[in-house]
Amino acid sequence: MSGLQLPHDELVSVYRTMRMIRRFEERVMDEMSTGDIPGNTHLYAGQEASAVGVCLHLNEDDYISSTHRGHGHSIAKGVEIDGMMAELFGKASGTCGGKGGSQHIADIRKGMLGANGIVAAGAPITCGAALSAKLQGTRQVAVAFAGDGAMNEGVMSESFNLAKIWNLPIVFAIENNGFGEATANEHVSAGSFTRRAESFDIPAIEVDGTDVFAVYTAAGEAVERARNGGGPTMLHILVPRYYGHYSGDPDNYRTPEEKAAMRQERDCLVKFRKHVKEVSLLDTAELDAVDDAVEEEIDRAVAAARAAPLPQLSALLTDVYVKYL
Amino acid sequence: MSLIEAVTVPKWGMTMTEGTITQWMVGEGDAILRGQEILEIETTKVTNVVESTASGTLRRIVLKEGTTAPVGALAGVITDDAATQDEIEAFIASYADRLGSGEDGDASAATPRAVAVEGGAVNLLEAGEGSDDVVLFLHGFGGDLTTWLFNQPEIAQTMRTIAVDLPGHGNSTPVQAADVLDAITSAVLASIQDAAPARFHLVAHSFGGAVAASIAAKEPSRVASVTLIAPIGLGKEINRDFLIDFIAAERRRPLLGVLERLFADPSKITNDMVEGTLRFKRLEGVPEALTNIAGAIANETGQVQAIGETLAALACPVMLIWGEGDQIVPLPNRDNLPANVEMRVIPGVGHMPQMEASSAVNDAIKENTRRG
Amino acid sequence: MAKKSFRQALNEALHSEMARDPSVIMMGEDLTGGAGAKGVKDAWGGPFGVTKGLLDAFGPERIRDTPISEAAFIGAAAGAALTGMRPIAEIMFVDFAGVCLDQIMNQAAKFRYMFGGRAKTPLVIRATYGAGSRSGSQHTQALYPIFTHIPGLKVVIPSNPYDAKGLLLQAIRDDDPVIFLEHKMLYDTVGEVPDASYTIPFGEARVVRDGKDVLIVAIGRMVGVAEEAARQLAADGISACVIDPRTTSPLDEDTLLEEAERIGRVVIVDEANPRCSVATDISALFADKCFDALKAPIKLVTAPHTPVPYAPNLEDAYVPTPDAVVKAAKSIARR
Repeated sequence: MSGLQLPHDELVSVYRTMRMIRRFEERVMDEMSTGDIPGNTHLYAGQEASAVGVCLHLNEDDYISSTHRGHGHSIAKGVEIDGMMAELFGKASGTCGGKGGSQHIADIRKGMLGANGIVAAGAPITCGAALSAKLQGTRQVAVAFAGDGAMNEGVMSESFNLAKIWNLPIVFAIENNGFGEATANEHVSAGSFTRRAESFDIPAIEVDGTDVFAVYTAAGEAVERARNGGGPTMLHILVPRYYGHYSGDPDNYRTPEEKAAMRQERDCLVKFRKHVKEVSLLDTAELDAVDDAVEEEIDRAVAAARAAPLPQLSALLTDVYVKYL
Repeated sequence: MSLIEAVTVPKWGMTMTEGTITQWMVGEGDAILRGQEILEIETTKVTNVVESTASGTLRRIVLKEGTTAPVGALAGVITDDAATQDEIEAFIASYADRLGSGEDGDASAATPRAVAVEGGAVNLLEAGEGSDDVVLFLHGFGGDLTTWLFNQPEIAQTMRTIAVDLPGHGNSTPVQAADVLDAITSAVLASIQDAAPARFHLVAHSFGGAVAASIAAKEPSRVASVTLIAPIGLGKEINRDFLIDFIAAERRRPLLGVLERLFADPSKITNDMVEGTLRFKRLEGVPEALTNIAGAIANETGQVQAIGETLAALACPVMLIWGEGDQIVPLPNRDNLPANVEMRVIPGVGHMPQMEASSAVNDAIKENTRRG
Repeated sequence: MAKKSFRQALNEALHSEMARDPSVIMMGEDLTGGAGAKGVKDAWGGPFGVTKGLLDAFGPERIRDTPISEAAFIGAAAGAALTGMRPIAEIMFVDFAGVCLDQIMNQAAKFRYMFGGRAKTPLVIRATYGAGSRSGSQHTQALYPIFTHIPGLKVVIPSNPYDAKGLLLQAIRDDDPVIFLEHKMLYDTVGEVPDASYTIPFGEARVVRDGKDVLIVAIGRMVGVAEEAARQLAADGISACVIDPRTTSPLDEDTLLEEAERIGRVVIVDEANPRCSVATDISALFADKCFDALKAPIKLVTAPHTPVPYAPNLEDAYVPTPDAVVKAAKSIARR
């Protein structure tokens, strides 16, 4: 872990965003056990440093796409948590008016092109956003987040090929948490992910996804390359997935020991606190205050989401088209 | 010698090459009087009726309902009592040859042409030969030269005729000008410079009536007669909603609802008329052009143009023809019209007498042009 | 007015709209032909010549020949549409939609709805369809029922050059995802097409031919089949009304119901396979909304429930013919 020349406020913000994601996910898990959040959700806890380290380089008008495990990317990109929590509760005040749910949270105004219920589907869509930026000459960049499971979908390789052949301003941020649903990655993936990217002549950087500074450095190289017209990069970000695949997953295909070790040894928040203390960048009290503020904000978001109304029945029929007849 | 008379598919519209039989109003064996309506035929505009040219019996229906046939084709046979079956068969057989011989070849001879004018082109259709004075046909708002499909061929039998697509209509390019009526008038005059350098008769409908009045005001010495059918500019009242709704209608059913207001008998409107009007209205630039013209016709307080004074000052014969049931430009009070103007009201028709009562209108045109 | 081919009409629409609107871009396989090669550029102008000349006019940034990666470039088209462009992507044969159906069905079709109305996807996907070219089962299907079924998509099937140009211009200007299907056997057909631009609204059927004894509803290439059948029926004293819906989604229910109520005897001719088709969809509409006006069962004239065969005699037997339509009409006319 290297010390960064990040200004004080930005360092606090890095911690705050990671903490927000962690607590948001843990809170969602609690709320789910009450039965008031419909359906299922896929929690990002443990992977925070990846989303935050990458999105730190992005402006509001840069694009990201996400996966079914999208809350972390959304928060890191600046989607408001009030709207997100309300969306999970299926309320009218949700980011998508209650019509998308966890797997389809999107906020185009903030460059968030959507969480996606179809594995790897975001990759070509992000190529399209990158193409838009390139044709309009805006120097915007697009980041496609995807998991290890997505690497085996055909469309992912197609997207690598297309991005390279069209020299698109895109970063493929592959978050490898070792599991595609309930199946270990080594059971289903041949070769190496970085060599797959390199086989398309796409530079690939592998990085410890629990070290936000390492992610930040690697992502910086990738984003700059894209912004300067140098084409795609693949980041292979190694992260731990704290919860099961989905919120109801008993996760018994992992042993209690490995899960305990994961939380002990691979916690990006603990690592961050330790590092900044070591190099005297921030003090404990400041970070504790952030923890409290985050807790308050999440409490408010949950209270507001619970109090908010469900969508009007008429919303069932709206926004299928801009204009049908 | 037996009387054997052919009922044929008539020529309506200078470019008409075929018609569809929609209804026989009499059956085989029925007695018929000369002038009686016997056969309904569909054109690209409205369905119209063929009148019998002879009295006798309809002995044979050759073309059944629903059939489409070329202009001039034998649709039925009327005979007196003396005609035999063999004679009828022979007659029908001889018609088959006659059709291919080119006797009706002039059916396809008339084609419109575009005349270059400043800023674009005006499309016009000439027909007829011989006379020194030309009859100039000017259609109305949203129409085109085929408005005259039941009139131009008839008048062209004895006089030269020119039917014009007003700028922004048919195949004529729109004009861009603050005074759109003036610009249209100039374009029309420029377009007929070669074809009608000397005198001409004006026959005009609705908005075309205002164009005709402008022409007469500009070139009174060239105007031999003026026949206006339901023209604008002779009163304040007008159904402005018609103009607004016509421009706004983008689909078949609403447009049909608008076009129905033009006719006393809306059932005459054919599918082709609606489709043709839709195709015109969809063209880029047309809605804007029509909106400009609509603005020159009426505003919130009623009609904008006033042509009474121009007509009053004319020395040539001036005739007005109006449908009694006109829902668009209502029949003006005779007292409000200039004294030199003859008014002919046709009962049972609406804003399109030239289509709904074409015989009466043609007779009136012939009468008025003969005076000029 | 000039007579132009279906192909020319489409080319004109693409040309004029790309000139008018710089956000319109095109992508597909061999849209130009010769990209990256040493010989002639724009060698094909599309597999059926529809996109000829566009490369010269608009350049390779706006007209892109893609790898054979339907999922990637249809997805990219969807993403570009989400982010300010108006892409026209081509699936060479609609049969290939299987390869990229997720991007069409789960992504482009659903963005607006799932995202609470905060996204719009002004995407056009053009594809060829239909039998008659002896191309075998995988290059000849009429898959519009599948797209018609998906909420969020619009489906357009022009039957003649005039409609082709107007509907394509409408599709490009439309803010929703449009599947624009071109029957490959219609490209050479000819008709009057204005030089000027014009749009034809969606959900607006055309009354091709007026009539009173039987209503024939026909889709795409079958409109010509229905017109021929109507001519034959007229010779036998049966007056047929022919309607072309033009778009199956949205569907002009008002016109269809009005004519079905007026006439009461209906034949629907549809080249697609018969199960869960547009023919059955329209049938259900009539049975539900104008049952009392029906004087006879609704007759469906369709392909059989088989893939499209290769042998010419078999393929010709697969596609509905005017004779089949005449027979169906006569079976229900004036009982």
